[in-house]
Amino acid sequence: MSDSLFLDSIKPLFADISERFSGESQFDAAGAWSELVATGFLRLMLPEQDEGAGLDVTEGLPVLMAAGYCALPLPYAETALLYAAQPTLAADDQALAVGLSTTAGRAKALRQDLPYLQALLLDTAGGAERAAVSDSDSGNWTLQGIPSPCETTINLQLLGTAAECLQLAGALQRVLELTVDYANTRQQFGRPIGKYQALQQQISVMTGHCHSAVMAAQLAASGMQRSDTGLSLDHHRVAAACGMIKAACQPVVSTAHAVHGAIGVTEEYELHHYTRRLLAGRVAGGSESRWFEQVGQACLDSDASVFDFTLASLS
Amino acid sequence: MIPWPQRQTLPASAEALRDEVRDFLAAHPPAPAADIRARSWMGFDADFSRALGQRGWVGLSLPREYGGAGGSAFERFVVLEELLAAGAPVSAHWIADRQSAPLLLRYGSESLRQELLPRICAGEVYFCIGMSEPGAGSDLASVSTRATRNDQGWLLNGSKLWTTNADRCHYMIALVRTSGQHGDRQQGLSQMLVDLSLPGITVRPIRDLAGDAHFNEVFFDNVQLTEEALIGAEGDGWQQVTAELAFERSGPERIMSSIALLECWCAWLRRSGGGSADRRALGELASRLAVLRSMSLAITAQLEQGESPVIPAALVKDLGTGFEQDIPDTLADVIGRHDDAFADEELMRTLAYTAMVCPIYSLRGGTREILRGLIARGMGLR
Ligand SMILES: Cc1cc2nc3c(=O)[nH]c(=O)nc-3n(C[C@H](O)[C@H](O)[C@H](O)COP(=O)(O)OP(=O)(O)OC[C@H]3O[C@@H](n4cnc5c(N)ncnc54)[C@H](O)[C@@H]3O)c2cc1C
Repeated sequence: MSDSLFLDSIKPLFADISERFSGESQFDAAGAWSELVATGFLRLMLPEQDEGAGLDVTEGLPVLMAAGYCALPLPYAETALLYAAQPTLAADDQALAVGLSTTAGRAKALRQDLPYLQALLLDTAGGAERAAVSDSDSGNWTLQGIPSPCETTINLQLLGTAAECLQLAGALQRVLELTVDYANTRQQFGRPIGKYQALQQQISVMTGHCHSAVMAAQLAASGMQRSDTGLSLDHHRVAAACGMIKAACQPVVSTAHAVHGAIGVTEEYELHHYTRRLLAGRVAGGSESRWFEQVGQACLDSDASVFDFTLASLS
Repeated sequence: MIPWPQRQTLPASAEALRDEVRDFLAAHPPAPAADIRARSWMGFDADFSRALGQRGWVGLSLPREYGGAGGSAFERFVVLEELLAAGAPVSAHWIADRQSAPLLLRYGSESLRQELLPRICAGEVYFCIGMSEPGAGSDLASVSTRATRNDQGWLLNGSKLWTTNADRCHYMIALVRTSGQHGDRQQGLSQMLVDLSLPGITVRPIRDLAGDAHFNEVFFDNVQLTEEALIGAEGDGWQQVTAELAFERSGPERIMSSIALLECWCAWLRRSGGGSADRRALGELASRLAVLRSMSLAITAQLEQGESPVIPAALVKDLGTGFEQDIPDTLADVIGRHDDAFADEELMRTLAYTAMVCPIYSLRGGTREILRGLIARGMGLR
């Protein structure tokens, strides 16, 4: 199967789950998760020996981005990447995400609005731990039982941030499409508003941000190398790409809402599902400043020219 | 909608050139001072261009039968980015290499190709672009310089403005009106090869705000051109110019114009320490550079496949020149936080120079607003 065949076969389910989430008062998150499990797509980037499809992250990227494009309200990309990072995590098909401990017995996922989660991966002084969770109280998950150690040595914070950012890149694509469609449809002063140069220039700038973010997502994916034992992260390349995607969020949200006028701030119109996600996602796992500062430090430490550092570590 | 960019990695054959170019640069070192290197693609040095030509790195992607190296667009990309990263003086051969030679290859007569391309590839013959005029800036279709047919070929009258290197190069490729009137817009325009040594041509250099003279006013007073001077078909000038601009708009030169300043500052930062704001600025600029370079490379892949990605190239140019302009802006702010930076004269000179000239980055080759209009068209808004 080519990348796009993978994508075509899962995207309708993503869109369907997303529609149920926003349309039904009693969304059955556990049921939706079982549907995802049944597709086998959580094992997209697991080796064949672990009943996976054996895709590289680069090959799986269109599917990961599609989760964001569809505003999928489940930790699909997070889980699929964690399974890829540590294949033993896939054993019981649980919904996973990277989290941060808050108060005793509580933790937050990097992505705050998740309606469903079964366990969090936490970085602790003693190494990575996996903690079963239940009951989210506005994003604060209650830890169940004693966390178990997890063998992975991967940088969980970066992996979790990357999982978020790849979805944000998909959401940015969606917001750009919605905005262009709206500009071509909505008429004022007898013409589609997209005919006005002021809006054209703003949408062109927005296009630039979205295209940069999509390229950054590809750079991030290329910095996540898969082997039969798990993923290894090219730290600076992934961090730089995450910074770029995060930096695109605010300007894109601003222009999208400006172009949409009042309809864009209604509950009924779909724009807010994506813009909310972009605003929250920009902060989740650390804003662009956090990652850019790490990249800058690495460049200073490298002793190479900025150009050479960019070639060797970011490209 | 403009197609989403597809990441492309450099083939090994192209990557292999990098060290060769670095060895060459070690033997032909660019100026030591960063504020001179900052002039890179405005720095004119015929000896350097000839030496580069001898290595086969001018007209690198032209076919061998015309003196080129038969290389790929990717190989050319590596040579260019290495030259620009080093701040090498590439201006002399730059325009011929980038756009005049591909244009001649595509539209020139066989005898013109035989005559000119090998000399371009040798780094000996230099070109300029005669598009803009006093009355035709962004509105390029309103050019009024005219070539009129006569029994010896074409008689050229009018003037060009802002022509980079007209005072020190051999040929101009001019966009002129060959039929119809001003109001006919894109119709009736043609491209002419003008030998700048012909009688009737006056070139007046114009000094820029940094004190350099790289662009010119050019006057044509009954300049007699031969029949051969017409490039491509009469009346096809507009389409030819549009295709040419895809070569002009997306290369590494639209990303690297402020690199000398960035490197000079980073070196200073390593010596002096610096704080969190400096590291953040450095990390952001390096990250943007990485993404832009990948986007430029994606366009290169399209050019290599024989496509003419005019609108994606405009998008990359708009983003790239914005980046080039944000470098002096960001650095003025972070450098200004450190008193000891003022003592570093090279850094301060390079900052002052780059900050002062960077507005041109989003003017030359089509202004930011014009590019954004093209992008809007690509998005289906116009
Ligand atoms: C360093 C340098 C080198 C150059 N080298 C060459 C060269 O070698 N050959 C050559 O032919 N030309 C050259 N140029 C000229 C360059 O192509 C023109 O400057 C450019 O096309 C803009 O034209 P203009 O300067 O007349 O500005 P104008 O077209 O007068 O534009 C002024 C302002 O108005 C805006 N504007 C104009 N029309 C519109 C519109 N329809 N909608 C919205 N905004 C609009 C512009 O974006 C700009 O902000 C060079 C310029 C520079 C600065």
